[in-house]
Amino acid sequence: MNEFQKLFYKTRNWLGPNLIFVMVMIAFPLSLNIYSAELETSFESILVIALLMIAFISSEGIFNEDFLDGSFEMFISEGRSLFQLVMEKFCAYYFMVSLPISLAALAFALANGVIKDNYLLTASGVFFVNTIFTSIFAFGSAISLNKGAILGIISVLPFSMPAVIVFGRFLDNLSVSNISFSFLELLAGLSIMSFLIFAWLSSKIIKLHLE
Amino acid sequence: MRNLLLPLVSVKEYIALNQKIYPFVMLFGIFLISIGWITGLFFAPVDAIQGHSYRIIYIHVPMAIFSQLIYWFMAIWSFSFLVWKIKIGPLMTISAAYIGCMVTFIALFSGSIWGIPTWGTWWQWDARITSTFILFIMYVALLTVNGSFQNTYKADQITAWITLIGVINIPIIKKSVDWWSTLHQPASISLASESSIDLSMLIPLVISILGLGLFLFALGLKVSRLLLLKYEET
Repeated sequence: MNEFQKLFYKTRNWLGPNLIFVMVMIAFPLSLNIYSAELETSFESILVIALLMIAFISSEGIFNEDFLDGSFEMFISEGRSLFQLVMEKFCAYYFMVSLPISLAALAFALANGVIKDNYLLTASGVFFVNTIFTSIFAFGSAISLNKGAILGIISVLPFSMPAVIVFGRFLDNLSVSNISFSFLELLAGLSIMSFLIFAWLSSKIIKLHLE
Repeated sequence: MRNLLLPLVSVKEYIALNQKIYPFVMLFGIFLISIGWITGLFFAPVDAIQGHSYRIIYIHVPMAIFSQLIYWFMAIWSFSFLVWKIKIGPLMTISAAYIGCMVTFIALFSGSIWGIPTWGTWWQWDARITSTFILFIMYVALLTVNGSFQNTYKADQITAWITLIGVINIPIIKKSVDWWSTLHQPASISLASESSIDLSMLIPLVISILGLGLFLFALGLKVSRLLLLKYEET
């Protein structure tokens, strides 16, 4: 069974983060006066915090089950590449969590009057930043296998800051397509790099845990 | 050449060298710091704009410089451990992390004290301050991760990887004052260009930086020896 199917049947792991994201984004305007201009100004900050939170919630148990039921050991003993397996896992999470969340974020950005156009740009930006966060926190999850999620989050949270900075600049310049597109390219580059680097590092750390 | 590098590879040779040089480095470091701080705090001229409050640079600037340099030092040792399996690599990394954590805290704290008379606030979410605060969190995180595993080899490997990835934050700290419009001033002293500080203020600062460097190095030698004892016990 491939990683996409495995994740699909574990509804809690992909539907849970999506629902939490929607709940957070619904709760945020309720805490303010809904006619307030603050809705637009604070949307970016809430979005970044929600994305960070969803990334570590969704990736918290990404390797746990396979580690505990011996799937990783079996995988290695069969001579297959752990790096490839981790990459598949990452892709499954990008598809099942990051993609729906980027569409939901777009819907909320429209509803809160944050964007008037640049729909594709906004959704892509959110998608890329979410994939970066997911890769980073999945690495944290690999570090803290059988040690609890907190350790992993503490150790990798600082690495997400460059992505937060670029994403902030991207959102700030959303009304200027050219500049925003440059930041989107940067986010895309960071996303690819973090995918490869953190997948490789996670596979190394998992191997270390198995030794 | 091999004899020269042996103390860096062999634990036994490292302890012998450590014991030999520790008192000299420590004493010379304290001597230089004393000269730097006494001349800076009591004899350097008063700043035309900031008055006496600028004198905190003799503590803040050396601490801020070493908060970043220590991370580079850790990254080099982590790299040497992962690539060449140099045994004392993790020991050096962790010893430096303890010192880096303390130095970064002092840099943040002294910066806050300086912020009250100059900026009117002790804290601001400015790029330089925030990125330095992240560095402090990274030091704490590294120490937490290292202490969380019973298996020393596993702990050392994971710590080394995290240290290497964390290097990304150091150029961000360095360049933060150029990339963003920050409340924090740009660098006043640089190796590449002429300093914007008057020589009478600069000399004590350079002596303080050199002195603190030696003092921290000696402290690192002491911490690493204590850690080695702890490893032997466990």
